[in-house]
Amino acid sequence: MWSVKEDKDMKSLITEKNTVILGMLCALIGGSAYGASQFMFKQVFKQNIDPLVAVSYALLSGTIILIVLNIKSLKRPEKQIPKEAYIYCIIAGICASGGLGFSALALNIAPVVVVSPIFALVPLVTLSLTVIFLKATDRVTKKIWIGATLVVIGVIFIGFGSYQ
Amino acid sequence: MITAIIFALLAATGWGSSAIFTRKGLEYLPTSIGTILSLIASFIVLATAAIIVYGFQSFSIPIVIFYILVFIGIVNYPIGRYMNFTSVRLAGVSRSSPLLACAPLVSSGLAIIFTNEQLNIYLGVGTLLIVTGIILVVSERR
Repeated sequence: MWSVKEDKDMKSLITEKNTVILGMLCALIGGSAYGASQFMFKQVFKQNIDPLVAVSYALLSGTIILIVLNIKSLKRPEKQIPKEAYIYCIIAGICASGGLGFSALALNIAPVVVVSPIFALVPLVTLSLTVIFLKATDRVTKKIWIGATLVVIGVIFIGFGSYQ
Repeated sequence: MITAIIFALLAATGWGSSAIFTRKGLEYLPTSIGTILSLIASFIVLATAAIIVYGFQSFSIPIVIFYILVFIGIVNYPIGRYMNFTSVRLAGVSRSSPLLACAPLVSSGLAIIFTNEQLNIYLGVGTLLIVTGIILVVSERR
Protein backbone atom coordinates (compact mmCIF):
# COMPACT_ATOMS: atom_id res chain seq x y z
CA MET A 1 0.00 0.00 0.00
CA TRP A 2 2.70 2.42 1.10
CA SER A 3 4.86 1.85 -1.94
CA VAL A 4 1.90 2.51 -4.25
CA LYS A 5 1.10 5.74 -2.43
CA GLU A 6 4.73 6.90 -2.54
CA ASP A 7 4.87 6.13 -6.23
CA LYS A 8 1.76 8.24 -6.87
CA ASP A 9 3.21 11.10 -4.81
CA MET A 10 6.45 10.87 -6.79
CA LYS A 11 4.54 11.04 -10.08
CA SER A 12 2.61 14.10 -8.97
CA LEU A 13 5.87 15.76 -7.87
CA ILE A 14 7.50 15.10 -11.24
CA THR A 15 4.45 16.46 -13.06
CA GLU A 16 4.43 19.59 -10.91
CA LYS A 17 8.16 20.16 -11.55
CA ASN A 18 7.68 19.74 -15.31
CA THR A 19 4.76 22.15 -15.24
CA VAL A 20 6.91 24.82 -13.59
CA ILE A 21 9.74 24.25 -16.10
CA LEU A 22 7.26 24.49 -18.98
CA GLY A 23 5.84 27.68 -17.44
CA MET A 24 9.31 29.24 -17.19
CA LEU A 25 10.02 28.27 -20.80
CA CYS A 26 6.76 29.96 -21.83
CA ALA A 27 7.86 33.09 -19.89
CA LEU A 28 11.16 33.19 -21.80
CA ILE A 29 9.36 32.76 -25.15
CA GLY A 30 6.84 35.44 -24.13
CA GLY A 31 9.62 37.81 -23.05
CA SER A 32 11.43 37.24 -26.36
CA ALA A 33 8.22 37.94 -28.30
CA TYR A 34 7.72 41.16 -26.31
CA GLY A 35 11.34 42.14 -27.03
CA ALA A 36 10.98 41.49 -30.76
CA SER A 37 7.77 43.49 -30.94
CA GLN A 38 9.32 46.35 -28.91
CA PHE A 39 12.04 46.55 -31.57
CA MET A 40 9.48 46.52 -34.42
CA PHE A 41 7.26 49.09 -32.68
CA LYS A 42 10.29 51.43 -32.43
CA GLN A 43 10.78 51.17 -36.21
CA VAL A 44 7.08 51.96 -36.81
CA PHE A 45 7.17 54.97 -34.45
CA LYS A 46 10.05 56.37 -36.52
CA GLN A 47 7.51 56.68 -39.40
CA ASN A 48 5.55 59.28 -37.37
CA ILE A 49 2.72 56.91 -36.49
CA ASP A 50 1.02 57.80 -33.20
CA PRO A 51 1.96 55.17 -30.56
CA LEU A 52 -1.60 54.60 -29.31
CA VAL A 53 -2.87 54.18 -32.90
CA ALA A 54 -0.10 51.69 -33.71
CA VAL A 55 -0.75 49.68 -30.55
CA SER A 56 -4.53 49.73 -31.20
CA TYR A 57 -4.05 48.23 -34.69
CA ALA A 58 -1.65 45.59 -33.35
CA LEU A 59 -4.02 44.76 -30.49
CA LEU A 60 -7.01 44.43 -32.84
CA SER A 61 -5.19 42.11 -35.23
CA GLY A 62 -3.76 40.03 -32.37
CA THR A 63 -7.20 39.70 -30.76
CA ILE A 64 -8.90 38.66 -34.02
CA ILE A 65 -6.23 36.04 -34.73
CA LEU A 66 -6.43 34.62 -31.19
CA ILE A 67 -10.25 34.46 -31.41
CA VAL A 68 -10.06 32.62 -34.76
CA LEU A 69 -7.51 30.16 -33.35
CA ASN A 70 -9.66 29.44 -30.28
CA ILE A 71 -13.13 29.60 -31.83
CA LYS A 72 -13.99 26.05 -30.66
CA SER A 73 -13.20 26.67 -26.99
CA LEU A 74 -15.13 29.94 -27.14
CA LYS A 75 -18.22 28.18 -28.52
CA ARG A 76 -18.22 25.65 -25.68
CA PRO A 77 -17.45 27.65 -22.56
CA GLU A 78 -16.84 25.44 -19.53
CA LYS A 79 -19.46 25.44 -16.83
CA GLN A 80 -18.93 26.43 -13.22
CA ILE A 81 -16.58 29.30 -13.97
CA PRO A 82 -17.19 32.06 -11.41
CA LYS A 83 -17.96 35.51 -12.80
CA GLU A 84 -15.04 36.93 -10.82
CA ALA A 85 -12.61 35.03 -13.04
CA TYR A 86 -13.88 36.87 -16.13
CA ILE A 87 -13.77 40.19 -14.27
CA TYR A 88 -10.19 39.59 -13.08
CA CYS A 89 -9.00 38.95 -16.66
CA ILE A 90 -10.80 42.05 -17.94
CA ILE A 91 -9.18 44.13 -15.15
CA ALA A 92 -5.80 42.56 -16.06
CA GLY A 93 -6.27 43.85 -19.62
CA ILE A 94 -7.30 47.30 -18.39
CA CYS A 95 -4.25 47.46 -16.06
CA ALA A 96 -1.92 46.43 -18.91
CA SER A 97 -3.35 49.10 -21.22
CA GLY A 98 -3.25 51.62 -18.34
CA GLY A 99 0.45 50.84 -17.95
CA LEU A 100 0.97 51.45 -21.65
CA GLY A 101 -1.02 54.71 -21.57
CA PHE A 102 0.87 56.07 -18.54
CA SER A 103 4.20 55.07 -20.10
CA ALA A 104 3.28 57.03 -23.25
CA LEU A 105 2.35 60.06 -21.10
CA ALA A 106 5.60 59.80 -19.10
CA LEU A 107 7.70 59.53 -22.27
CA ASN A 108 5.88 62.57 -23.65
CA ILE A 109 7.12 64.86 -20.86
CA ALA A 110 10.48 63.39 -19.82
CA PRO A 111 13.47 61.87 -21.62
CA VAL A 112 13.73 58.08 -21.98
CA VAL A 113 16.84 58.02 -19.79
CA VAL A 114 14.79 59.29 -16.81
CA VAL A 115 11.68 57.22 -17.33
CA SER A 116 12.97 53.83 -18.52
CA PRO A 117 14.73 52.90 -15.22
CA ILE A 118 11.35 53.28 -13.50
CA PHE A 119 9.67 51.07 -16.13
CA ALA A 120 12.38 48.50 -15.45
CA LEU A 121 11.13 48.17 -11.85
CA VAL A 122 8.08 46.15 -13.02
CA PRO A 123 9.34 42.73 -11.80
CA LEU A 124 10.02 44.14 -8.31
CA VAL A 125 6.59 45.83 -8.23
CA THR A 126 4.99 42.54 -9.32
CA LEU A 127 6.87 40.57 -6.66
CA SER A 128 5.84 43.08 -3.96
CA LEU A 129 2.19 42.79 -5.03
CA THR A 130 2.55 38.98 -5.10
CA VAL A 131 3.75 39.00 -1.48
CA ILE A 132 0.74 41.13 -0.49
CA PHE A 133 -2.07 39.59 -2.57
CA LEU A 134 -0.99 36.07 -3.58
CA LYS A 135 0.47 34.77 -0.32
CA ALA A 136 -1.59 31.59 -0.53
CA THR A 137 -0.62 30.54 -4.06
CA ASP A 138 2.78 32.06 -4.87
CA ARG A 139 5.90 31.97 -2.72
CA VAL A 140 8.61 34.56 -3.35
CA THR A 141 11.94 33.21 -2.14
CA LYS A 142 15.17 35.13 -1.50
CA LYS A 143 16.69 33.64 -4.65
CA ILE A 144 13.81 34.96 -6.77
CA TRP A 145 14.14 38.43 -5.19
CA ILE A 146 17.90 38.48 -5.95
CA GLY A 147 17.31 37.17 -9.51
CA ALA A 148 14.61 39.76 -10.18
CA THR A 149 16.80 42.57 -8.78
CA LEU A 150 19.67 41.53 -11.07
CA VAL A 151 17.28 41.50 -14.06
CA VAL A 152 16.03 44.99 -13.13
CA ILE A 153 19.57 46.40 -12.82
CA GLY A 154 20.47 44.69 -16.11
CA VAL A 155 17.47 46.22 -17.89
CA ILE A 156 18.44 49.68 -16.53
CA PHE A 157 21.99 49.18 -17.88
CA ILE A 158 20.62 48.14 -21.29
CA GLY A 159 18.38 51.24 -21.27
CA PHE A 160 21.42 53.47 -20.70
CA GLY A 161 23.41 51.54 -23.31
CA SER A 162 20.71 51.95 -25.96
CA TYR A 163 20.31 55.65 -25.13
CA GLN A 164 24.06 56.25 -25.61
CA MET B 1 9.77 66.03 -14.10
CA ILE B 2 7.95 64.80 -10.98
CA THR B 3 4.77 64.32 -13.04
CA ALA B 4 6.69 62.13 -15.47
CA ILE B 5 8.09 60.05 -12.60
CA ILE B 6 4.58 59.64 -11.14
CA PHE B 7 3.26 58.55 -14.56
CA ALA B 8 6.16 56.10 -14.92
CA LEU B 9 5.47 54.66 -11.45
CA LEU B 10 1.77 54.33 -12.33
CA ALA B 11 2.76 52.52 -15.54
CA ALA B 12 4.94 50.10 -13.57
CA THR B 13 2.12 49.55 -11.05
CA GLY B 14 -0.36 48.97 -13.91
CA TRP B 15 1.85 46.29 -15.51
CA GLY B 16 2.62 44.75 -12.11
CA SER B 17 -1.01 44.54 -11.00
CA SER B 18 -2.00 43.12 -14.39
CA ALA B 19 -0.01 39.97 -13.55
CA ILE B 20 -1.74 39.66 -10.17
CA PHE B 21 -5.24 39.89 -11.71
CA THR B 22 -4.19 37.45 -14.44
CA ARG B 23 -3.15 34.91 -11.82
CA LYS B 24 -6.46 35.33 -9.99
CA GLY B 25 -8.53 35.02 -13.18
CA LEU B 26 -6.67 32.01 -14.56
CA GLU B 27 -7.36 30.00 -11.42
CA TYR B 28 -10.71 29.18 -13.06
CA LEU B 29 -10.56 30.36 -16.70
CA PRO B 30 -8.75 28.61 -19.59
CA THR B 31 -5.68 30.59 -20.67
CA SER B 32 -7.05 31.25 -24.18
CA ILE B 33 -10.30 32.80 -22.91
CA GLY B 34 -8.43 34.82 -20.26
CA THR B 35 -6.01 36.17 -22.86
CA ILE B 36 -8.80 37.08 -25.30
CA LEU B 37 -10.78 38.88 -22.57
CA SER B 38 -7.74 40.88 -21.49
CA LEU B 39 -6.91 41.77 -25.11
CA ILE B 40 -10.46 42.99 -25.81
CA ALA B 41 -10.38 45.12 -22.63
CA SER B 42 -6.94 46.52 -23.58
CA PHE B 43 -8.11 47.30 -27.11
CA ILE B 44 -11.25 49.15 -25.95
CA VAL B 45 -9.25 51.29 -23.48
CA LEU B 46 -6.37 52.12 -25.85
CA ALA B 47 -8.46 52.67 -29.00
CA THR B 48 -10.76 55.02 -27.03
CA ALA B 49 -7.72 56.90 -25.70
CA ALA B 50 -6.26 57.11 -29.23
CA ILE B 51 -9.52 58.52 -30.65
CA ILE B 52 -9.78 61.08 -27.82
CA VAL B 53 -6.11 62.16 -28.05
CA TYR B 54 -5.44 62.00 -31.81
CA GLY B 55 -8.91 61.83 -33.44
CA PHE B 56 -10.25 59.39 -36.05
CA GLN B 57 -8.06 60.79 -38.84
CA SER B 58 -4.90 59.48 -37.14
CA PHE B 59 -6.12 55.93 -37.88
CA SER B 60 -5.51 56.39 -41.61
CA ILE B 61 -2.04 54.91 -42.06
CA PRO B 62 -0.06 53.61 -45.08
CA ILE B 63 -1.01 50.04 -46.03
CA VAL B 64 2.59 48.81 -45.60
CA ILE B 65 2.65 50.08 -42.01
CA PHE B 66 -0.73 48.40 -41.46
CA TYR B 67 0.69 45.01 -42.55
CA ILE B 68 3.72 45.51 -40.29
CA LEU B 69 1.40 46.30 -37.37
CA VAL B 70 -0.62 43.14 -38.08
CA PHE B 71 2.64 41.16 -37.93
CA ILE B 72 3.63 42.91 -34.68
CA GLY B 73 0.15 42.12 -33.35
CA ILE B 74 0.70 38.42 -34.03
CA VAL B 75 4.12 38.42 -32.33
CA ASN B 76 3.11 40.54 -29.34
CA TYR B 77 -0.32 39.16 -28.48
CA PRO B 78 -1.15 35.62 -29.66
CA ILE B 79 2.48 34.70 -28.91
CA GLY B 80 3.71 37.23 -26.30
CA ARG B 81 0.67 37.73 -24.11
CA TYR B 82 -0.60 34.17 -24.52
CA MET B 83 2.78 32.80 -23.41
CA ASN B 84 2.85 35.38 -20.60
CA PHE B 85 -0.54 34.16 -19.33
CA THR B 86 0.44 30.50 -19.76
CA SER B 87 3.61 31.07 -17.74
CA VAL B 88 1.68 32.83 -14.96
CA ARG B 89 -0.71 29.88 -14.87
CA LEU B 90 1.97 27.17 -14.89
CA ALA B 91 4.93 28.67 -13.04
CA GLY B 92 3.26 31.40 -10.97
CA VAL B 93 3.73 35.17 -10.95
CA SER B 94 6.91 35.10 -8.85
CA ARG B 95 8.84 32.99 -11.37
CA SER B 96 7.36 34.34 -14.60
CA SER B 97 7.67 38.11 -14.01
CA PRO B 98 11.50 38.29 -13.81
CA LEU B 99 11.78 36.04 -16.89
CA LEU B 100 9.32 38.14 -18.90
CA ALA B 101 11.42 41.19 -18.07
CA CYS B 102 14.19 39.89 -20.35
CA ALA B 103 12.40 41.61 -23.28
CA PRO B 104 14.89 44.55 -23.57
CA LEU B 105 17.70 42.02 -23.97
CA VAL B 106 16.06 40.65 -27.15
CA SER B 107 15.07 44.14 -28.32
CA SER B 108 18.63 45.52 -28.00
CA GLY B 109 20.04 42.35 -29.58
CA LEU B 110 17.81 42.87 -32.62
CA ALA B 111 18.81 46.54 -32.74
CA ILE B 112 22.49 45.53 -32.85
CA ILE B 113 21.84 43.00 -35.65
CA PHE B 114 19.44 44.99 -37.84
CA THR B 115 20.06 48.70 -37.18
CA ASN B 116 23.81 48.65 -36.58
CA GLU B 117 23.46 49.81 -32.98
CA GLN B 118 26.88 49.63 -31.31
CA LEU B 119 27.55 47.15 -28.52
CA ASN B 120 28.91 49.11 -25.54
CA ILE B 121 29.95 48.43 -21.94
CA TYR B 122 26.43 49.17 -20.60
CA LEU B 123 24.81 46.65 -22.97
CA GLY B 124 27.48 44.06 -22.09
CA VAL B 125 27.10 44.47 -18.31
CA GLY B 126 23.28 44.63 -18.62
CA THR B 127 23.19 41.38 -20.62
CA LEU B 128 25.43 39.66 -18.07
CA LEU B 129 23.25 40.80 -15.15
CA ILE B 130 20.00 39.73 -16.87
CA VAL B 131 21.38 36.29 -17.75
CA THR B 132 22.63 35.82 -14.15
CA GLY B 133 19.21 36.91 -12.82
CA ILE B 134 17.42 34.49 -15.16
CA ILE B 135 19.72 31.61 -14.10
CA LEU B 136 18.96 32.38 -10.42
CA VAL B 137 15.18 32.41 -11.01
CA VAL B 138 15.20 29.29 -13.19
CA SER B 139 17.38 27.36 -10.73
CA GLU B 140 14.98 28.07 -7.84
CA ARG B 141 13.50 24.67 -6.98
CA ARG B 142 11.12 25.52 -4.16
